[in-house]
Amino acid sequence: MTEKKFLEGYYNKLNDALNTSEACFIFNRNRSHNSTIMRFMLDKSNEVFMFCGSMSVFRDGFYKKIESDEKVSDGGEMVSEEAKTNLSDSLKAFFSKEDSKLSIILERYDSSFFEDLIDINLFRENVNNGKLLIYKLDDSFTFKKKLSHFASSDKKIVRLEQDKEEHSAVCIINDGNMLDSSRSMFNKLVKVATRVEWPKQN
Amino acid sequence: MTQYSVDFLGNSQTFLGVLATIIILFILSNNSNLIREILKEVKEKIAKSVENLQVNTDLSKITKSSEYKLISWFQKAGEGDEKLLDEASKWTAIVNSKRQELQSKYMDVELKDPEVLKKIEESKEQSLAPLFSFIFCLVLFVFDELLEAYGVKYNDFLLTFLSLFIVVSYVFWIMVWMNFISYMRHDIKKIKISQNRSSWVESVIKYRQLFRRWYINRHIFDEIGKPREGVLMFIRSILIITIVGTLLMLHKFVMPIGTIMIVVLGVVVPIALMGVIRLWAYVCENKFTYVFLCGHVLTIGAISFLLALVFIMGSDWLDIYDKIILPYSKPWMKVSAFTFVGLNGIVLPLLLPYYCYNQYYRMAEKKVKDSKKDEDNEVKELMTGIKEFASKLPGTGEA
Repeated sequence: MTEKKFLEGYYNKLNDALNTSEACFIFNRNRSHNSTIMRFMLDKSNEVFMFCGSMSVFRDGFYKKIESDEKVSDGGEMVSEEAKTNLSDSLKAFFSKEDSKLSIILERYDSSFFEDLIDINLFRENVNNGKLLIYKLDDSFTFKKKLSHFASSDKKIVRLEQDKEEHSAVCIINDGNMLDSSRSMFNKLVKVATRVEWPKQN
Repeated sequence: MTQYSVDFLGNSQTFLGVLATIIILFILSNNSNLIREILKEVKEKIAKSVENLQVNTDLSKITKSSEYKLISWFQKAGEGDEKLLDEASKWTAIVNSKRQELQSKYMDVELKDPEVLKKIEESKEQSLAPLFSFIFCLVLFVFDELLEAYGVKYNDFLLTFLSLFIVVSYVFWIMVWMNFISYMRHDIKKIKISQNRSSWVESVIKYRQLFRRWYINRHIFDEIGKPREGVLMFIRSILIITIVGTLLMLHKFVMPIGTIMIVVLGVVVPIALMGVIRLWAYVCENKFTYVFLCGHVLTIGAISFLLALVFIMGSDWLDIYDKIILPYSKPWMKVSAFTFVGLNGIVLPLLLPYYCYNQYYRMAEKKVKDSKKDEDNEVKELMTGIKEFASKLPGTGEA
């Protein structure tokens, strides 16, 4: 329960930061924070842009790892379920907004990514109606390994990864320059990326 | 007007034939095309050189420094003064954001931009210029025969036509090659048409439509309401009647030859102007095709024919033939014709794409140097703040 309260506290910290007009930098230590930031971004924004490895935050395997995360003590399973459910609810609410759009560029692509999504039907529906745009970068773009993963939104919320393996990152709120930098990078990547359609067998 | 027999090519017929034979090889789109093969090798060499260029965008001088590692460790440990923790997050975010900025700025060099090399390789000018030059050679051969056969009787018209054909060919191909260079530079340098130029291009395109379709700009009628089609037809009819009537009056009462000149120039000048405007307005689009070339060969021929007619018919008071055409015909006509064949058929299709490849490499090389400078500036700017903050952290003495 302590961890759940900690996650709610983390969410509230992000919210308080957004409500000030000052730039705030909040550390994202682990996967549960990552999921919370994603939920926060979806709750507060109409457009979200992401460059990620394999959209793991939207897949079941990610939440199984939260259970075994070092910092999570008793009740780890409940925390991971809660985090997954909360993100799923936020996704549903996000897509129900009129002009919402989620754009994801994947560093790596495999059609099996679509098999363990936290809400397959929701993803399928929104890929087909154009609210969820998924792209992939070709393996010939070897420079992609040097790029940090990030997510940003139209509400001056940016999550910028520092370490690809540890998923540690910083959530930057109310900093226009960092938002512009993320958007510029996203726009350049999307020009060379290839759009992905929903796999026929799923 | 002086009339005499003209031996145009003379002993140079064989040489022209050899040039034409060589040029045919450069029209082909397969391994037999020497220019294409040479340029393919150049392209591969340059692509490999660009591959080897290492862009400097990872700020490793900062991320590998002991101060940054300390800040990163402190942040991950998560224990200590909350203000210090937040500031640690701020510094790591700034470094990562600056790295992202640099990577975004030099993305096109990282991408190696294969599209640019492909566009240069596949540019139609490389094969269409030799094709035009080959047709040009055929025209020279034909006129050489005509001048021999009908020299004394029609040499004034033939020489005028040929002179104009050569001059207009030069003008046309200078514009095409300049457009080629501009088009490639646009892609190599990622030059965007500036806002001012863009609005200029828009205005030019609007007025081009006036020549092309005789389209009366409907914006003129914005204040009085949209005109009906019938009103526009009426206005166009009045304009046609006025122009034709004026020409008839001029022909009957003032200057018969002058009227013909006005008609010819009234057709030729807008067409030529439209061609120039189109090339200028569409500098970022390469629409050069075989159909384009065939059409323009005929157009150049027609323009030369009409203008030659005007110059000959107006010879009494224009006197272009004796003052310009005759002096030009010996020896400059032959020199300029052969120069055109050599330049447009052989030299430029090889030289200009090579120049573009080279520009691409120079641009990539310059960007790599610029990325090094930018990285060094960022390191200089950030390290002072990072060192200062790192010294405040617990265990470093100051905190």
